[in-house]
Amino acid sequence: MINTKEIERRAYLTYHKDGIIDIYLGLLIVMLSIVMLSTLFVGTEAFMMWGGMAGTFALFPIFYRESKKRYTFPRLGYVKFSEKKGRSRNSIMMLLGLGTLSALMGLWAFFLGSKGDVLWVETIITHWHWFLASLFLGLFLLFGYITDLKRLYYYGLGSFVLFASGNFVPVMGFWLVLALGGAMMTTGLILLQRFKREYPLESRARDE
Amino acid sequence: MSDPEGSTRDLDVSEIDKVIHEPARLGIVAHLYVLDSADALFLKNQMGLTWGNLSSHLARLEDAGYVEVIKEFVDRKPVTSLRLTQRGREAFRSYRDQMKGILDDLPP
Repeated sequence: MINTKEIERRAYLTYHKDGIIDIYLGLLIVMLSIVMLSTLFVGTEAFMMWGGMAGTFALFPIFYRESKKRYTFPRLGYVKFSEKKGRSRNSIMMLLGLGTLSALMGLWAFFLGSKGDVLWVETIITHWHWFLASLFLGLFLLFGYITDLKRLYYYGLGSFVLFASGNFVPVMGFWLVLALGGAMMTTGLILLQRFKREYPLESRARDE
Repeated sequence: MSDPEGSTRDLDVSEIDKVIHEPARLGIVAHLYVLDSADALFLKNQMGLTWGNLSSHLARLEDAGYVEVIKEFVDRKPVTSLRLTQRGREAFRSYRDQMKGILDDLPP
């Protein structure tokens, strides 16, 4: 019989075939690595960099939406997913996830700015490989669940292996973060190229 | 058609909604049932139809009052979106129940 759930799922996956979410998530992670590197040189003013990073996370939905309008809608067509079908939870959960990340960045900026002596933060700094491995794994699993995009699960697994390996390989943290962000952006760009080939621009005159 | 118990039962297909029953239109209605709205380009890409084919099916669905055309602006650009009407939603649900009933009645 007619499987409406499958129809909706396929429409949603087609909407995300463009790789734009990979590009922007990768870009955010690359920016994170640059901030991590810059804090080595900036020193006591590092909290400003982290604060700026928190603001960038908050702007992500705007950049994402604009890219969709530029690349996806002209090729794939315009679609609105039904709020009643539960996709509204995706927008809310995504905002919650980004809001949490933004808050964590802000908290980190506050800690650096206040120069306080907080024990749990010291513990995180000491075991930062495992902390980052778990954090990225958790975030990717969450976003993968929200968006139904299986490749986010692979990013999570890859990031866990990458950061955990930092315990055994003497590599500075920002290199690992840069590698992860770079891999995601590259994947996104490849997907976007493939998407543009699969959905060439058509005359929209038929719509009017 | 008769069943082993001897009573007669007909497969009543006369009341099947022929507007929705056509495969391409069924696909269009099913897509619009799960989406809030979509433009013709999206439906064409999802269904794999040609423009001419899609246009004629959309016209048929619009004539039946199942689909409505909405002209809106997205980023200051005009977009013509399609949405299932309440009548269209009820017709699809009714069609789905009818077909389920017919298929469930069939012997294994």
